[in-house]
Amino acid sequence: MNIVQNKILLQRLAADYGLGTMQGAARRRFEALARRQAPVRQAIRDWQERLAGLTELQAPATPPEVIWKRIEIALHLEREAARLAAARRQAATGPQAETPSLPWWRQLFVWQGFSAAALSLALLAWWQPWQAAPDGPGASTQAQGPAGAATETLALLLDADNRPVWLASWSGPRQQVQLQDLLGQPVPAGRSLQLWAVPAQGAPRSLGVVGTGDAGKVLSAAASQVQGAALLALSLEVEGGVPEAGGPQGPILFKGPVVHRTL
Amino acid sequence: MTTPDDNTQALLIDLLSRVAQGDELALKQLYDQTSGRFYGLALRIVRAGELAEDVLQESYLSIWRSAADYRASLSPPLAWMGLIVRSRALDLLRRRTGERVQLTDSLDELTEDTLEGDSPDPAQCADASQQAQALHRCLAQLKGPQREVLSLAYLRELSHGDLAEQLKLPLGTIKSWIRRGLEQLRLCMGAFN
Repeated sequence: MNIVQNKILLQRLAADYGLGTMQGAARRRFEALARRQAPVRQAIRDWQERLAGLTELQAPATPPEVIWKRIEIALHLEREAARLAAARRQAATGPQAETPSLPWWRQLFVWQGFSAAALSLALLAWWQPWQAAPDGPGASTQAQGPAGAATETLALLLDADNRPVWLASWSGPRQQVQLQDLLGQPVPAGRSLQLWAVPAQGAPRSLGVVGTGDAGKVLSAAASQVQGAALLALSLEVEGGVPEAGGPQGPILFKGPVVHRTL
Repeated sequence: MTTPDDNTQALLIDLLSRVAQGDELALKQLYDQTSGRFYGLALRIVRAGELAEDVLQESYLSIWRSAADYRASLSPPLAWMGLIVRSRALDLLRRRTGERVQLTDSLDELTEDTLEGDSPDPAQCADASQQAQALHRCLAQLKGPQREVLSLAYLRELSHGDLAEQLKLPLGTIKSWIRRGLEQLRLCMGAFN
């Protein structure tokens, strides 16, 4: 049967196609037909146009302000990553050596090392949370401050899909790590995220457990805990976290190489 | 004659072409102009606020990356952007099938949704493309649940079977509502074109 002749049937099928209710094998057969028959293509286009208006007719809602902030961060990351990727192509580095089987924290280094480092560098160039914050008394003269006072450390922690999820910045003058939750994903009930500093040599060090609210996202950390770190990682642990000595027990959800710089 | 609708369309088209040239300020303006509408759309498709936030973020990043393709599409700007939001929302829903979001609605809930869902305020409607305004008038001629089944099928890309399951209605009812609804829409919208 030639459906192009049967206008009612053609309209019905094209409408089902445009609406999306035609699925699976039927949809593929109809697409094959559309490739051969211009009237079928036209009928599909008409329906797609008619129905597209449905996306415009929904009741509006006010989005939370944080969404635009997140878009801004993503735009900066994207631009800087593109710039760094271009620079990297020019530098044309040699092939990297394969890494044999290693403990888990060593294997972290193998993962997507460069792109995350590039993103962290990009963020460092752009993001200056500590300088923007008002300094408390005693933090004004870096020379008299605690060890490592005049440095800061930054890491962008990515998830398994390489999406930036957390931004961690350690301030020498404050001896604190501040965590910024970029996506606002909730932690499952009864579990905690624990922050680890993973040095190039030796076992990872616990920097503490991420708490609730803004206050819970600032953790005390001495220079000695952070400065040797090559990576920061967040693992999902039982509520309250696990002892440092055993290392992370739960899955590493987010991780990223750190960038150190002198202020 | 220039209507407010034409002015909005022209503004949005201008913003999109500036976005295509990498103008971040234009993206911010576009966001301010349209994010309320599309947050509403995202909420309608994915329901959960948290997911809808991700949809909105990813949608504007997609718009940023693909604004250069806009002119070739020949669509009204809101329709073009609306399709991006819908497709990001569906992507996100598919990605999250593991933590399956609660998508089952009762028809009562839906008809409630319809009252606010498909009845945008007059300003919202005036900004919509002509095609969408015609669709709005034609949808108004359908019965509430029938209109709602069509919206839901389209926005969430559901099959007849999915709809029957989610709305707890007989498959035959869903099929005939959709078939008759689409036929009425075709006749009604033909009159507008």
